[in-house]
Amino acid sequence: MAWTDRLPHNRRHWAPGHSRSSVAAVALLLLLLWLPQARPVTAQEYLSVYGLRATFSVPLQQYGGRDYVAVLDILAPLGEVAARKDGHKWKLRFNSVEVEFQEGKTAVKLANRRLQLASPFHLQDGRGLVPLSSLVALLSPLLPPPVELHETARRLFLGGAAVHFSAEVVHSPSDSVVLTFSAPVNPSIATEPGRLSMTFVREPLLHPSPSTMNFEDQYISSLSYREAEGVAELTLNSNVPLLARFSSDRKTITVGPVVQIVAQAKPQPVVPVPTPASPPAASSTPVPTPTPNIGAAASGQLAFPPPLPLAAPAPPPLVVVDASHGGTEPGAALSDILAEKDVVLSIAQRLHNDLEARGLHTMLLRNSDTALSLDQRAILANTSRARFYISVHAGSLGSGVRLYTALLPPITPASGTFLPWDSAQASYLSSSQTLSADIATELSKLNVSSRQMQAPLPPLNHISAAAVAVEVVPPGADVTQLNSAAYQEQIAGAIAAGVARAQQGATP
Amino acid sequence: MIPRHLKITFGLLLLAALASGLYMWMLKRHERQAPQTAQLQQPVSPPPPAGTPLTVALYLADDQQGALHREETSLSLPADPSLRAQAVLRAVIARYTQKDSTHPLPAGADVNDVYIVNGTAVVDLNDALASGHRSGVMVEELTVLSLVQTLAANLPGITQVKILVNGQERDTLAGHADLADFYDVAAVNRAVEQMGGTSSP
Repeated sequence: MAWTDRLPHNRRHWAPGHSRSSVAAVALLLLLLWLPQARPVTAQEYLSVYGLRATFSVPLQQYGGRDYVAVLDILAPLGEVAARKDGHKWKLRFNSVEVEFQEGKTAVKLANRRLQLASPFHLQDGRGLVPLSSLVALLSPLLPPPVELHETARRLFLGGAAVHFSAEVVHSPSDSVVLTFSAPVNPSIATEPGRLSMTFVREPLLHPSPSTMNFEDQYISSLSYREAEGVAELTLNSNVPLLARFSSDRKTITVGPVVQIVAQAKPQPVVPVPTPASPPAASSTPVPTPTPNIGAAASGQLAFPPPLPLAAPAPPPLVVVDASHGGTEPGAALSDILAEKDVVLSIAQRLHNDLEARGLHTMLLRNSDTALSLDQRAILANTSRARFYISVHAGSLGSGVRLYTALLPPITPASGTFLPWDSAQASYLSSSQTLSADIATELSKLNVSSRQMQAPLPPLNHISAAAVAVEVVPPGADVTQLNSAAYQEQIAGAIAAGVARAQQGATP
Repeated sequence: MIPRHLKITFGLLLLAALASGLYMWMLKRHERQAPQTAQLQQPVSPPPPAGTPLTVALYLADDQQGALHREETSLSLPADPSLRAQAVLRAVIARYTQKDSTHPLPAGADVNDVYIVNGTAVVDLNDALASGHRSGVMVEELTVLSLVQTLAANLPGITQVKILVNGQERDTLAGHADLADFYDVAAVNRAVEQMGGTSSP
């Protein structure tokens, strides 16, 4: 009786406890089996790398809950790098230094030294992956110091690349916060009620101490700095809507209440228009051609050009010369050492001088190796109210000069104050073709062959002036002749003569 | 003392867990290898589309002359307009990726897809074509006009063409030719005629 009574009693107490243990054990086993499997992150994350030679971002990958990065992705933009797989070993050579990794191991041979990675090295599709947290130890012997990693923010600073800034509250001429940077910056700016945020993606902006600055200002209460997800962000908190204004070649950003900033900027045009490229024709004093203030337009945000000194308003230019490409956009690689952006800048500068010498007031859209978007070029040209627009290109295919006018569908040109952006050129197509023909006539006088064509070449469609794109091609097979001063001068002279001819024809 | 049936249950569960873990590991391994195998098995050139052989007009670019030339060829074309458009564009691109092409395009250049809606064709080029394309006004214009003109010549009713790269809009093909706007077929035909090439009849 005692047994029979005890057995069910014991079973009642034993069974549930054992079931729970079994389930827990099985779950634990399944978890253990799953853990070693590499799981790529769902949303791709990146590490921003800021060097003195290059700024770039590399994708991150997760292994066992840790962030990993491909060594080659980081080293390739920074020097000569080669890698090969040798059995379980993966050997890398960077600027004559050999590094040896082993699949699944933490030990690394670097020249005559030994390093320990924070977690095992992995090979995936021939790409060697190292833990993010070991990057400083790994890169320090390979790259010029310092190598600084902000691991949680996913930002890597190499060779002392850094942009610092200071902030100051000014009350005159208006209440605003002036941010001064140690190098030109191009943040993306977002505004919302009570705050203005600037996000620095490409700039190695480093945080000041402390990270939040409080101001005793009636409008702007504080400035905070944070870095996360490969970017740095400055946020200004305010009780009124704020606007940002760039100046000093983008090294200064002035942030103030909308009303005050607009009032301060009122005498100037809203779209940044370059100052006149040269003095009036009567003056004989040479004035260097300034680069346009691309501050506001370059970042695509609402901003205003810096104040101009008080002077008589400059007359609008008659001709806009647009040296295509520039900055990070090199255009065609004409040879191993010759980029289109450099050739066209030289030709455009000559053309500018030739036009000015003929008394045709000219504006050069870029006078240095700077980047302008296609829309910015069209905006600058249109707001200048010039009569002629010449876009300069260079190519290596064929010979002579090709003259392009816009490729537009057969539409009725719009009339009135406003023109549709996509087909603004339609109203000027006839005068563009006349300009093209006049340039061709002048080129033929110099025995330079030319072709007149239509091309889908932005920003021609958006230009509200007689617009022609000129593609200069070497006279023979030798592409380096494009860089010849004599050839460039010959072409520029003919184009200037063509514009003068069109101007005479257009003048009633 | 653990009852016998619980021991057996636990043992079976452990075995099942180990087996499923091994199976999952094998599946993952297979998954990792699968894309490479698929890539290796991809044909060098796309297989000819099934359908009736028809004479099609290809507008082929010539870099030296800076013009397009009409060339007729026989192609097996499917009935579906989108597939038909892909087939003619692939025929043009195949000519450009040949060794002795008069207008070389990078290896691997292809059309991902073509969508045709109410007279508008949206052509989705692959990244190999765009990222490996030579940069220059003329060379880019020839590629774009060649594709648009060929499409319009073989699929009557198309009035405008929009070009994407890997499903994304971009400003230019390789720094020059406009990809932001729609191409008007009539304007392209006029431009081809002006180039000195053969325009669509």
